[in-house]
Amino acid sequence: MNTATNPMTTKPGLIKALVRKDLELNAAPLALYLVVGLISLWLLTFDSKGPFYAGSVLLLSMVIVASAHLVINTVTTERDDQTLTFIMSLPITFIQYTHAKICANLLGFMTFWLIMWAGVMGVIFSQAEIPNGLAVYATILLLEMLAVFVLLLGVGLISESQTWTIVVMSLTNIGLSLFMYWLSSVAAIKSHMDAADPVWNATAWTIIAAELAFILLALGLTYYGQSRKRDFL
Amino acid sequence: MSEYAIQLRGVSRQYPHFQLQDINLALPTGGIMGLIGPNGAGKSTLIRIMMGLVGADAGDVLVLGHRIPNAQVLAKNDIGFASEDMRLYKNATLQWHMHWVAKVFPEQWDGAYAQQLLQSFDLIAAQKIKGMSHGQRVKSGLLLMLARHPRLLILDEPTTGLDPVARKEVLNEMMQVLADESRSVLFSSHNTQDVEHLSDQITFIDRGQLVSSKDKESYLESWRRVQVKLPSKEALAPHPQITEVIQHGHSANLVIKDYAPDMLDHLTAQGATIGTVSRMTLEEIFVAEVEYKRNQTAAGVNP
Repeated sequence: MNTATNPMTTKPGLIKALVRKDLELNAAPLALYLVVGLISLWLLTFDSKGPFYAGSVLLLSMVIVASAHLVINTVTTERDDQTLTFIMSLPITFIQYTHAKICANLLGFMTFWLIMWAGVMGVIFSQAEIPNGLAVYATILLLEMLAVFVLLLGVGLISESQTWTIVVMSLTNIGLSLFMYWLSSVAAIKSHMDAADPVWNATAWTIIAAELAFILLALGLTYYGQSRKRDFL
Repeated sequence: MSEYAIQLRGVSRQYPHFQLQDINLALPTGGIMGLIGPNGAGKSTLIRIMMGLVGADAGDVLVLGHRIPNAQVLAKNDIGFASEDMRLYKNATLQWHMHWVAKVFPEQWDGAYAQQLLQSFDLIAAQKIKGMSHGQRVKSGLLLMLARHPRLLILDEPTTGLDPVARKEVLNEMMQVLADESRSVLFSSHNTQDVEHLSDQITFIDRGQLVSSKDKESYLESWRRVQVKLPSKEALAPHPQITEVIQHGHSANLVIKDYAPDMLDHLTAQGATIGTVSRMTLEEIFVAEVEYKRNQTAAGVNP
């Protein structure tokens, strides 16, 4: 039985209301991260290296901060602040709650992420100084950050612990540097980074497919883990 | 409409250091039940099982005729729940919460009643939750719950931490809500005064076990405190209905369970002179019931 859509087990509009609530309550900080993200994209258009590196660091930082903010604020803080009791007193099951949280987080983060990805692609393809071949590396890197976001969301929902979420967040931030180092050392990627046109070769597609598979797996495991819980408060 | 708002049959839940054991409970539709127990007795666990928030290991749970946890969405649509540990979103205003709950319950939300509650609770809709006192936060939670006219109210320690003025405001509003005879209420508290004030049925729970569940008048009628003068300093002969004896020389204070006037004949037959016979408060009865149950359990007797 699909508990997310069956009218006998779902209050119409409640999941949408929960998604809207999370987006409304986090709209201001997300807008701020978006503004800083757009500034970082603007810095990438500078000819000199200084602003370009500053823009790159700022862009990655904003993606990390937006990801952390959403998961902590909508999932673990809701439990710590005891607002979860209020939500779970409404006509909703825990799986529907999980569904609402995943939808709200994906919608909020994906909107931000897509704007940043589109902006990066726009900068790469519009700036003569930046080789178009970098688009493949940037896409894979941003997808890694999306996958990490989904992992954090799953950890937050399943562990219900701010501490564990922050531990995994710290580890994945260290992992980002290692991932960037590894990716730039993969010959099939590295050799085309300075190319005039992006080269979407088998290696690039394999890494992208692995990232997408990881995202699906993390989402599946989150739903599975939540469905096995007996106690929700 | 189901005959019972809440029915629990053989409900158990085991934790490493606590177990809720074989709870059987029935709240008739329109009834008001007070659930009394010391801290850690299992009141909140029991309430969370009724709300589908904690799973039972065994037993049946029916709320408003719906089986819990499977049909919790249908049941919770008509339940108003508030607990001492429930909080609202601190960075949002009460108005935002009212607007949001009205959207979630478009058919049930009563805007006019919400405004009336705002006034009687002396709340400011435009105020952010983080700027409110504990009492204002509790009243805000009750407003959001009551303004959608739920058929069943489940309240877990609703007056805990409230100052006397806020407590009176909440209790007064509860009295008005309870005037609707089709509405059922279950509320837990360790404040027996609140329970005595509001309930018509009372359930005592201790160490995960149901001690007793009866209507309020039965409790008040069945317990007495009796002062007697004894003919000697020797201990009074034990009697199954005398649950406590505090003796100083010739004077003794007795607590009597299942009181009937012929109990006094039993005492006078032993040479005792009856002094005062007084009714006990619900708090005294609660303590006496719990101690009696604990003593019986320790002695291996099934009370």
